[in-house]
Amino acid sequence: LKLRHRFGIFAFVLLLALLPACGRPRQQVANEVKGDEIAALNSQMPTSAKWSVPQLSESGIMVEATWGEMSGFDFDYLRRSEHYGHLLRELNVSEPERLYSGTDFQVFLPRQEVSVGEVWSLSSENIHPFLSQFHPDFNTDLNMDASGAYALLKAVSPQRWDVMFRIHGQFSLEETVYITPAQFAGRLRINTEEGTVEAFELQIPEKRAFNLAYEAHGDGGSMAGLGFVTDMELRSVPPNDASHSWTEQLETADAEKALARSFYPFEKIEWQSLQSARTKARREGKNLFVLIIAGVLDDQSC
Amino acid sequence: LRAGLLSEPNIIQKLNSDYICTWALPEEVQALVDCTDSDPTRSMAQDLLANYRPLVEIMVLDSSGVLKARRSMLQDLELPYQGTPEKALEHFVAFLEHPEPEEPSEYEPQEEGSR
Repeated sequence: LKLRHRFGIFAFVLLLALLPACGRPRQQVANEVKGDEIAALNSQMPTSAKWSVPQLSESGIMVEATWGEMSGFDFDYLRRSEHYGHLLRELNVSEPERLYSGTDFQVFLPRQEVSVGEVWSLSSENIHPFLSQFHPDFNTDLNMDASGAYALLKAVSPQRWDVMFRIHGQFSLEETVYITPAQFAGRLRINTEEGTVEAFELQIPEKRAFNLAYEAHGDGGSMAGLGFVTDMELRSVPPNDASHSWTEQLETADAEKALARSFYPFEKIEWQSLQSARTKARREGKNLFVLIIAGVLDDQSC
Repeated sequence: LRAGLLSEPNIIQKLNSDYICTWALPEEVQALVDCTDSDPTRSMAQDLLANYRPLVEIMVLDSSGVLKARRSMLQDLELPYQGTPEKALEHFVAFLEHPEPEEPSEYEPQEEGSR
C-alpha cells in the first residue's frame, strides 16, 4: 500500500508538471497576481503612517549558509539513480560563508515609503546573489504559478525596520535535476539610525511533512518526487536576537498570510485548521469544505 | 487546482460565504485520528481518511461533521473535462451549490486483480 501511495505521489507531481492548469494558464494567473493583485491587496490594508525607506551603509556583515540532508523515500530513490544520483551525492553549499556589504541588502527594501503590512515585489535578479550562496543556478522566474519573491514591512519604530519576505524558486543541477523548495522565508532587521543590518535570515520552513520537490529530465528518463530538507538556511553571524519596542507591528501569522496571498489567489479563502473548522462549522451552522491532498497546498513543495 | 478552480473569484466568494474551509495532508488527518481526545473529531477524521481517494479529494460535510458529498479532483474534475476547463468550473460551481453524492465515474480505476 505504501508503495502504491508513493507511486501515486510520483504520478501526481508528474501530472502537475505536465498538464496545463485547470482554468486559466498558470503564467497568466501569476502575472495578474504580480501586478494588480498586489495593489489590490495593499489597498485593503488599514490606512497607517508611511515610513521612509532607510539607506544602508557599507558596513559589512557575514552570512553563513547550511544545506542539511534531503531525505525521504523519493529522494533516496533519486540518490540511487545511475544517471542522476551523483548530482545529489556531490551536492554541497556553494559558499558556506560570504561577507556582504550592508548596501547589498538594499534590494530587500521597497523603492518608496511604505506602511506596516504593505507588500512589495523583489527583483529576481537582485536577490539572486543571496540564493547563489547555496548553489549558483537558482531561478525565481519559473514557468508555473506563484513564481517570484515578495516582502513586507512587519514592524517599525523610529530606530528599526523589521522586514519579512518570501521567495519561490528552483535550483537547477546541470539542467537535468530541478530542486524546488517549498519556499524561502526570510527576515531582515535594520538599524535605521545607523543604516546597518542587525540580523538577516532566510530558510526553508520545516512545518510540514514535505518541504522540497524534485524533477529530473534527461538520459535517465523523467522522475519526480517529494522530500524533506533540514537546516537549509542563510543566517547572519553573530546572531542578534535583541528584543525591541516597536511603534507599529503586524502579528507574524498575519504577515505570513499577507505574503502568501501575494503568490496565491486561493489564499483569499479563509482556511481554518481541521479542528477549528469543525468547531466553527457547528457554531455557525455551515457546511464544511474539506480538501484532503497528497501534497502541501500553500507552498511550492508539490 | 490551486491556479485554476480555487483561484476563481466566484469560487472564492462562494466558499467564504457558504462554507467553513479547511485542507490537510492525509498524514495530518491520520495524526489527528491517533492523537485527539475528542471522539467526534476522531470520528470525523476517520471518515475523511476512509473517503479519501489519492491524490486530491474534495469533501463537503454538514455542520455536525457528517459527509454529504465528495469529488475526486482527478476522476471527477480533471480527466472528464480535459481541454474544457470552463465545464470543470461549471461542474464545480454546481457541486458547491448542491453538494450531492457523485454518480459512478467512468474514470474509476480498476482494483488490482479485478480483471
